[in-house]
Amino acid sequence: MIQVEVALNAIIFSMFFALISTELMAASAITLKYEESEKKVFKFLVPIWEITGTFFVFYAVNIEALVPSAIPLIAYTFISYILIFLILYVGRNAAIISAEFIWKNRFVKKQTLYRIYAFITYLLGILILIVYTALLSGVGINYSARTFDISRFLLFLPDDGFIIGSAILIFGLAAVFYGLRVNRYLPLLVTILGLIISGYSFTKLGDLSSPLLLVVPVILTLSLPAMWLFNKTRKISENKIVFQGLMAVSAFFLIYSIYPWLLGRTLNITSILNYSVMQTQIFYTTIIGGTILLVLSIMFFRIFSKNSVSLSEDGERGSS
Amino acid sequence: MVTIANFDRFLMGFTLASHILIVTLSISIAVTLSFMEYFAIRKKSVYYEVLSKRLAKALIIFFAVGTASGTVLAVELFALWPQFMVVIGHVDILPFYYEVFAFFLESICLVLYVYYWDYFKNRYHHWLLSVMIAAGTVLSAVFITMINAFMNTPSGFDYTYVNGQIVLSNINPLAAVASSSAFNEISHVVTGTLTAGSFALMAYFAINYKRAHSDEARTMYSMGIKVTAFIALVSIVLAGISGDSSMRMLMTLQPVKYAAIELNMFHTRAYAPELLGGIYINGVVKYGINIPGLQSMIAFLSLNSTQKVPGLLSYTNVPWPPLFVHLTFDTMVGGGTLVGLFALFLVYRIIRGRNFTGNYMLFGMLIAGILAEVVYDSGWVTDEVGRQPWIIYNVMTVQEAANTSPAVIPLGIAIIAFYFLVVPFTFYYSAKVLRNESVEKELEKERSKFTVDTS
Repeated sequence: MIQVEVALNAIIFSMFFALISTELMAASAITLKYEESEKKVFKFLVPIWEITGTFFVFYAVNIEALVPSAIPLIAYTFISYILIFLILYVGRNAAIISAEFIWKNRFVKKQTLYRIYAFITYLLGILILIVYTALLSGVGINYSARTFDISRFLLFLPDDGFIIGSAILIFGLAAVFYGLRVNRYLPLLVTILGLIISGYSFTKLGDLSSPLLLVVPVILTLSLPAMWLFNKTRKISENKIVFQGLMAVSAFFLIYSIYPWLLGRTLNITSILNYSVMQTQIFYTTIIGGTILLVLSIMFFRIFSKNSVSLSEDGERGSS
Repeated sequence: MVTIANFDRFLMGFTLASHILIVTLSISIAVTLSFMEYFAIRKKSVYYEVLSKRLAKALIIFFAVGTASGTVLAVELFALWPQFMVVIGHVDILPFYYEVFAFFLESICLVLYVYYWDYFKNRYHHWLLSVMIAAGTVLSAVFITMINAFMNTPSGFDYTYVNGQIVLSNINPLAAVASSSAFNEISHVVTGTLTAGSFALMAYFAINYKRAHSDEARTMYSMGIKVTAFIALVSIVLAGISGDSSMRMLMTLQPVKYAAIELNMFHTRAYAPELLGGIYINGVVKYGINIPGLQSMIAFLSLNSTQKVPGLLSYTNVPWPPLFVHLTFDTMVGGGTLVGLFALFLVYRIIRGRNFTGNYMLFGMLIAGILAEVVYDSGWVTDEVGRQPWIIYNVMTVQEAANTSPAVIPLGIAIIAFYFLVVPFTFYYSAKVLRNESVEKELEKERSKFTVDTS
């Protein structure tokens, strides 16, 4: 049975994953179908991207609280990736906020800024996936020297497969989440392809503790494009709360399937957990803070579902 | 000497200073915005309404870049100072954790506030969101300052060093959260931040007042000046009181830091003089003015107290911080006094109904805006450099905490270069976004639809 504090961390990661995946899907839509994105993507992306960043901080702080002894390992091993991530993160925020308020001028267009945002978001997604996959497989990480060899990492096919498969999966689901105009079978086919590549690779990253649990994310993920095939169920899969909920549950079971192992079954996470006295405080704070967050989220989605943010050409905002 | 640890120190200091510039404005805009919207509803004033909308727009831009630079700092903390974060993670991670929820309060309420302005039929409900945004930003500052207080006066754990590695025991996370200097630091940081931001905002209104082409626009900006002047005066008075209290606390909790800040080049003594200015060169203090007995008088609020103030010569067996902190401290106190007196004069003129928008006054507001930022940054430099060489006072040095991977240097330089673009861009961009819209048109638009429903 998963420990409570690890379960809380996994839940936070799952929620962060659900949010960041919507941004990655938005990046796909902006790149390939910009005009349609203006109507269908921005009304969701514009109010949500700042909350994604907050969830990232939430997850990072929870990791620091859960396994503080692992901080030097992560800090030394991935220092280059972390610093590149920071530059890109500031760039992402600067690009999207500029796109949101840009005025008509000769030099920069709103579309260019959104495309820059999309490109940076891809890079951020790749960086997160590299670090996450490396921590799962352990390939490329020299535990004692605290270094990371990207060439060894890339030569291990399951690492590449998991990253490429995840990218395909996100691409396939983008049309469902944002209701883009594509062939109705395309999202399902692309999602199946992404699932096969990423799923198979995931099983080879390290020995799974509970392989049967993988059935949950597979079924839930497939259900989204499957429901999208039929007019009667399409609205369900396009519903933002349902979609994100299913994504979060899928991510949770993905994590659960490898628990408690990291680094290719060489590091048992329960052996490096923080002192119980701190875990108790973190638990209480998460429950109280989580309740506040839940109330705020309900308030947000209630208002979001009744109104949509609109962006006109000159960047003037309003609600309709 | 440029060691990797020193580079880490520089990188952290640089990003922190940049973040501070943005955050002072974010916090003061959030608080001012709440007052503006309240006045807009109560007085049914389109001027305050337009000011609120403009500030909301600026706030979301500052928030976007501020959260990014805040995330940079949060990640830098564990990336550049991994050993420090091991201690924090085990002992004092709770304030970071609390801060995340304050951050959520701010971000979700801000999104609803800005993007769904017209959704709220009852304007007081919308205004409540602005109160929550202000509460979120202020609480974030409170919780982050708790970490800084812990670094200055660590508590809630025991430790020993085994083979160069710190071993922690008897951990009490709640005692760490409520460290001895927490209350003093929080009250000084929050009021100081609000002071710096309010003066900067006032300077912005003053510039726009001067540039305005119509009476309508001038009326609107003069209202902005009024509100920020009152906030600035109240906050600087509170900052002065809490700063005075913080100095007294230093005497007992961090006597070496106190002695360095005052540049007390004598043994611990009573009737200590106050040194204004002064540089320590080759064992001698030069270019300073000594006022006999003044330091003891201020410290103990008595003309003939026999209590003693710490002197550096009584602490020759422990490392001293760099002594230039005395000058940054003097800059903070001297500059703070000047801007405080200016705020008092300005508020006096406003209350008495005198003209407060003449050229000299507007120029004074601009200078006060710049000086208040210098004062604020000097305060932070005094606090942080004054703790050196410790990252956690008397527990862990900066050197011991640092990430010494050479990869830090090239990427750190890239981050610094990137910040040189992003920070000026943020200020330029928000000013440009606001300037692009005609005040007169906005006022006209609001007049046509501004109805207040307080049911």
